[in-house]
Amino acid sequence: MVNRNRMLAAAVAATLGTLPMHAGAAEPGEIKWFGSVYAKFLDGNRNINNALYNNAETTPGEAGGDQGQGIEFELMFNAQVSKQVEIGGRIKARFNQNFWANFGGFGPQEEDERSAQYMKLRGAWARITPGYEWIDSATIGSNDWGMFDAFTQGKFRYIDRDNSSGILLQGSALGRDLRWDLARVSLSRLFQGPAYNTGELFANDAAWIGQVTYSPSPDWNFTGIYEWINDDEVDPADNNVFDGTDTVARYDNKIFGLKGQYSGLGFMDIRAAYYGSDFTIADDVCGTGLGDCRYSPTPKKDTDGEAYTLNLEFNNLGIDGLTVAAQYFHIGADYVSVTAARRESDVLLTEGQEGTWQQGRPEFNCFYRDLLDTSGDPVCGNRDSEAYNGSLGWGGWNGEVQQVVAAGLADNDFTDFDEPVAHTVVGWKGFTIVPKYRIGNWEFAAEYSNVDFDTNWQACGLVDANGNPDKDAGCIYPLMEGTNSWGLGGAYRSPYSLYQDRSMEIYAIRADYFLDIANGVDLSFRYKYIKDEDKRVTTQEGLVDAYDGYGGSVNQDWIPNPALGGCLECDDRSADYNTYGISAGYQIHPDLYLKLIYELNTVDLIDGTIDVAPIGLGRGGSWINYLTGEHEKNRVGLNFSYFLSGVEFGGTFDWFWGEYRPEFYTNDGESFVRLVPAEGVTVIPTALANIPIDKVKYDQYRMKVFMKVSF
Amino acid sequence: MKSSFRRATVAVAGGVLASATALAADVTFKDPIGDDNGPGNYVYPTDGVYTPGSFDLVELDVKDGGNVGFEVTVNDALRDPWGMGVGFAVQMVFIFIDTKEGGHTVGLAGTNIAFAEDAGWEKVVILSPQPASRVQAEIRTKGGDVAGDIVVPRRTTGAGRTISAKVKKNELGEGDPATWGYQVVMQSNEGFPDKSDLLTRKVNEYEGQHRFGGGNDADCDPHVMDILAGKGEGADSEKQAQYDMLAYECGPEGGAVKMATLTMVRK
Repeated sequence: MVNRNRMLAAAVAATLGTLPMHAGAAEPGEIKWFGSVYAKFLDGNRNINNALYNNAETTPGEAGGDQGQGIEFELMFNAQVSKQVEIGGRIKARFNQNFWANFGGFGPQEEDERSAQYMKLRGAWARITPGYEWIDSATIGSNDWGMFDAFTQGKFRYIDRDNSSGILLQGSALGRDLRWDLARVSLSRLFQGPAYNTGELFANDAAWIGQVTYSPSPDWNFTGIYEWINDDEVDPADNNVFDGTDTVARYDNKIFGLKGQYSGLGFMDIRAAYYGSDFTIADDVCGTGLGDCRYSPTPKKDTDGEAYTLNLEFNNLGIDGLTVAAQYFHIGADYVSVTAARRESDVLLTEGQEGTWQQGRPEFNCFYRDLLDTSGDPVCGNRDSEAYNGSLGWGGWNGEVQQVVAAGLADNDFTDFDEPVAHTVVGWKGFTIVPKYRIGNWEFAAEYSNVDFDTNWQACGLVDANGNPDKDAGCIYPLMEGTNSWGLGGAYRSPYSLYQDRSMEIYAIRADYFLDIANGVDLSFRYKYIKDEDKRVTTQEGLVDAYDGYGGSVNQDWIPNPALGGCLECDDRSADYNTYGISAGYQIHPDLYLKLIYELNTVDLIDGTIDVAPIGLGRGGSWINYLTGEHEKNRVGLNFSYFLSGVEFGGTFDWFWGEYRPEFYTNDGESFVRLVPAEGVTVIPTALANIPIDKVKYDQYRMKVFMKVSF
Repeated sequence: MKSSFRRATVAVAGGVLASATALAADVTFKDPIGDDNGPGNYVYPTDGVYTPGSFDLVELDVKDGGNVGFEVTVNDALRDPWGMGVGFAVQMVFIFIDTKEGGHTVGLAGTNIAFAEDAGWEKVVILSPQPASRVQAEIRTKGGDVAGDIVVPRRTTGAGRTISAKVKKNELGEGDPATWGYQVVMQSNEGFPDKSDLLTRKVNEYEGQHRFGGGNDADCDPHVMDILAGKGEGADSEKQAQYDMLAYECGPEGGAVKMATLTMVRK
């Protein structure tokens, strides 16, 4: 993870001019070239060679890979053209499917940029420092916008962090106590708008953002931010081209933010941030049917929301080595920032959930589902199915999740299992407390988080003429995969469910000990418990609306139970996650560091009775697994890092094994009871599949090794 | 069963206390707040990860036990936006130590500083969030004649506002650490340094997203944001002492006419 971050940061650093200049050594106008060679080696027992990335890519057929070798060449440049002008950029031949097995780019599709070895301009910029009083610099071209923040214009990338471009003006006043940034950022037509596009007229769609930071003393600072994101389309009512063509807004997104820090108390820092958002969308862009704009990063209709955080960091409590950090957070369900950070940022103090359960689905029950694709193959659990290929396997991601506020835009494309996974936390509200204590060679840390949800509602808060919940009355929130609170970790993109009444608690402790023998052994122990509960439908009227018979869209062996027979608790979801971890790291040689890891992850999940089907999801349930029961996942990992002058090697080897023991519950006279299969019964019909009652054993092996040479 | 658990608990607690009480004979230096501007006019890079106070040195604690412990406190909570995994990311600290007469008067590659003749250093400890083997590899390439006197702790971590590390005492030299002279140089962890820089971040005339500003585009300016000065008591007057030490003068070709020259602080 760390190594990958460094590689990504290199691209940013080079492209954005952060790599230092030999201004004294280089002649004006001399161009400096530098770069890297990066090789990746993948192996695993899934034996999928879709790509040299093993993520949960959203483009079918381009991810889930655990095989092959590839090498990238990257060339960066910059030049001090004059005292007032500096330029830089990056070209690169990157891999997606550029396997060595392609024999030098001559794969089956030589013209396909994914498998050929084409060099491509990845980013270019010019930075002008005119020396005027009123402006420090103007940067034109590629930028990752790291000077703004994760709630407004987040640090941004898609494949690379220089994908985004725009114009950035920066200045200062009052002896640089006051600094300002003003930018126009072009919107990506690939995803930065309703239904993941910016319409047919896209070239001038942009975000305008300005911020002013005032730091008059070390004790306090204050920042104000305003952003306007605008997507225009040709006005269909303007048929007279003689005076040009008018435009109308497809959507507007305005965000303002105020944030500040006060450190004058000595023993405690106070940081607070407030953001308000306003989102308007043209009526004809999205309907309000459940299937309309189902895959979208924005609400379907106008809305406004807010998000705020308050952090208290106690750094001097009178006990040497003891610190306590606390955060209160509220990320409103209707907070919308289309340009918020999508990954590589973390807006919350909590560790959050474990990456191993994000997309780490069993992918087994679809073998038994009477649901076939056009080729006659089962849709899930089949090697050819998108659900299987489009994930990174049962192991999931290593480590913890990163929490972002980009609703529907949390993005994990082009990543590997050893990188952090991003997860949207729109709708989360609650608090976190993290004490840390260091004494001698020990370091202790703990966490308690209590999370409520602003997305707790019945039928999205909609009611019919009689005042009863009505999921078909025009829910404005996109459901996407619809697995937000259904799977173990759920989908990472959509934070919305039609019916939700959820709460979550996180408890975590960690102890690190430096065993002072020989080169020293880094020992680490950790335990985490997460209690995640969702009562979903909470009224009888809601049951009638939510569980309305599922006409023609589910397993034909399953007998729907409309309104769940009045059993309110029958759709409740309860998940208890446990993580136990121990690791030992050792500098075995001055150049080589090894770390051995063992983790045990368990989940005890009750996800409603067998009478329940995902509300309003219909056939989209092909992505969903039946998961009720006990899950156990063991991991032994071996990480290494090896440095020589100018070259770095790193690697992760993971072995997973464990099992899933399905359990079943049913509605017995309006009560929620355990279902014990009768003698001779081998499968239980559910809405998702006919589920075999036997436990299922899993194992997965995966390896990633890389080499990076910088020159 | 219960008594076994109790014995184990007592043993663990005893171990914790033993490791804690092994520390003794502390020496502490303080530095005024608000002087994280190098020679008086340096400014932070513009990226949001460089939060105010990140490079503002507040305190150095040296703890002499079986090993020598170093704790460097800054004026902002440490954060790890780059996923370094050790509790901090943007800072890097050089602790120069004067253990006896003589010593080196040159700085480390990328810092553009020198030391006064009577303030030569024998050892320098690097507190970096980078893996120790990465730092060692850089030292082998860029450490020059002083590479053998650069000490990289086996483990460096950050928590709260404090970066901590321990080194074996025999790696530093003979004598009582409480009587040694110290100088702390606050720098920034640059994972992709210039070919001649030891993981240091540049200071240029204009600040950039990941460059400090207020200096000179040539390498005649000290690439240092904060240091100890005066008596190391945190007095306001120590700000000016710092600015005086870090004062520099560049020649027309970019070479240093006058190099920033540091002295040691000692109790």
